Amino acid sequence: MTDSAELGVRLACKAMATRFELVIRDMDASRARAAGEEALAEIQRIEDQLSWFRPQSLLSRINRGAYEKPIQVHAPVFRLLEACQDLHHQTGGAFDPTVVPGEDGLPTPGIIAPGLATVELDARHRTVRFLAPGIALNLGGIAKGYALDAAAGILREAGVMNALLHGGTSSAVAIGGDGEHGWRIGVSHPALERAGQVVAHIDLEDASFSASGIYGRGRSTAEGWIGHVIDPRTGRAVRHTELAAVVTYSSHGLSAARADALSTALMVMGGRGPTWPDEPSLCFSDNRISEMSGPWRPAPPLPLA
Amino acid sequence: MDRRHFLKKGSLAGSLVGIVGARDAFRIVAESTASRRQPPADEVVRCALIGFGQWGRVVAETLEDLPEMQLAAICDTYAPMLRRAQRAHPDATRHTDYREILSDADVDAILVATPSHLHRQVVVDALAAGKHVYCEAPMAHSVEDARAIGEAANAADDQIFQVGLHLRTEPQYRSVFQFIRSGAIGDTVMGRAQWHTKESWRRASPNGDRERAQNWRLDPALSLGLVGEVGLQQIDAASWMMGALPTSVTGFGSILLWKDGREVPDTVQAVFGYPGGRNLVFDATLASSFDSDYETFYGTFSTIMLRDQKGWMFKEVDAPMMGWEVYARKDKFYKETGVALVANATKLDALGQDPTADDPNLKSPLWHGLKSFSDNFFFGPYPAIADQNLGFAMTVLADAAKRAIASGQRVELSDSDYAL
Repeated sequence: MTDSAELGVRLACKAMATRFELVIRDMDASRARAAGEEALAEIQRIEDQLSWFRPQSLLSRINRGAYEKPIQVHAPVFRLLEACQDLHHQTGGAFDPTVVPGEDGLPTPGIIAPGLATVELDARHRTVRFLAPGIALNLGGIAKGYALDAAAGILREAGVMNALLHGGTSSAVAIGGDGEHGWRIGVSHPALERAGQVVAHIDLEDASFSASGIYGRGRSTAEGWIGHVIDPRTGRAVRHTELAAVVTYSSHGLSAARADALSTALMVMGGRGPTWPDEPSLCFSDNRISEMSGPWRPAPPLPLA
Repeated sequence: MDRRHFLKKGSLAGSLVGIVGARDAFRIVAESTASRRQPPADEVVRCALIGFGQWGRVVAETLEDLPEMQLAAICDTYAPMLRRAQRAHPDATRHTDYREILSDADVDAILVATPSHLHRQVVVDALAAGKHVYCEAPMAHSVEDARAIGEAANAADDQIFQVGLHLRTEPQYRSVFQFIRSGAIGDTVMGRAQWHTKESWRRASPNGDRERAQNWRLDPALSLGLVGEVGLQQIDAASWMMGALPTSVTGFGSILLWKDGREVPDTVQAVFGYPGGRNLVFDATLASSFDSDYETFYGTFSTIMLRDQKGWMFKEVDAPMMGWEVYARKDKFYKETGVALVANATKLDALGQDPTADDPNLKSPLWHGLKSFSDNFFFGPYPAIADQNLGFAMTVLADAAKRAIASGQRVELSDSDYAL
């Protein structure tokens, strides 16, 4: 069918203000591309649904109307919101997608939102209702993983058995592995990246990965860098932990979404120990790995003062 | 079926279609039905969706935003699609044989989103079973199948038959249509439409039979190609704006990027000739996404661009002043300034919404198409705006374009070619 015996493909698209990329191995290139295109289209469809910035998105519709009356949502989105509730409980409130929007419509730092407890989900009618005024859902902390989960499902349905997908390098899903050491993922840190090093790496096979860090978005102040990760319980920016990463051992269901939520929660909770014993996690602060569980392979001692 | 027939199809058809020529019929019917009434409380159209592929899933999701349309059943022949249906629409029953659904007296309407070459059997059977039918565009992959569907729809006089040509029911297009018809852009001298993307148009599946079935768009015997499978919406809208159906089509097509053994061109150009020497130039490609998709209508006073359900007017310096454009929002497009045309501006203003901001409640053309179908259910049946005549004419046109592209020859079309 093809004019070459080329295998595999690498495709990318822009969505959710970042770059999503996927690599498919062990499949005829034209078929791999076909599968990959459908997966990327799914990611863009989910962005249309869950975008905070698009007034026509389902999320915006919920945020505009859910205090006045219950808003009915699609079954998959309802399941995502239920998962958010579970993750909120499992993390003692450290993961919380509710925010108090400011004048500009964006989440306001320094204000404690009434929290996910004030979001009522009615499974019978598949509706969402806000029990408090002035709150909104911002799924930015979980949407990338959720989109990757959906895209991985599409790839598997198309017969892909060996692939890696990532969103902005901070969330990833590995389908299968290459038989030897799986898909090798490195956790990077700006200071180490310059020296061509990683904090640690881990080999993934049918697993999902997520990392959160205070680097990237944020601002520099006299007291140092203030990142964009806010502790929902205090309303303050997280400063004690620079980076947190979590692996969930599945590439099915909402596993990448779960990894996303857990890495944010771990970041917020800092060095208080991993709460999920079977899911490898890692925290980094003060130029060292402060917490680690699971088969991470730390890089050689860090050349930092 | 508990339905109210405020208007009878026969009488309306008699008063409108009977007195005008075939070409003008579309226009006049289009103007007669802009119903946005509330459906009777607690009454719903119980719908079954046949075909849960990529477009079928969009249809199903759009129905969730139309409370008066209830998705009662989903049919697909491929098990993984039914599993997706279960995840996304757990309340709908699932079937692998659409005939099971046709015998269900509780189902009012059948929405057909199968591959184009499978429309005929489903539509004909559904109409014979007494169901109202909404059939995705193109209505069929061949003129022969389109005729069979059209004849079945003609015979089912008291049932709705609507084709998924949506732009004639989309408010921005309706507003621009009236604007052009009022003479606001002067004489329309030409039109241009494009659809550009970079994707293979291929599908993959671990199941070989499924994969062959899925790639019907790349099968020259089953596919109308880029003009018929994607361009038809834009070409239909352009024909509506031009007020006529094309009398000729010339086409070109090549495979320039996706040299994977396919025979259906990945890049096409077609020139549609309209009465009075006006042409519509259409191009589509799967090899470049530059500038995406939109339509432009060039008039002697001004040009209108329709893009993403938005419209802009670009005035000539010698065009008469209309007054309101002074206050309208203006957007820069390189060196040109477009005056934003906003459908329902007065209404939005009255609702306290800024007419120049993006409308948060904007609905897709598909939503408006399905809404006109449900309106027809509650207040009709009357002839659909996109009825079998339009669906047939557009299939004839797509088939002519396919032949023109394949042969490199100009294909002439007359009124009799378009007559069902």
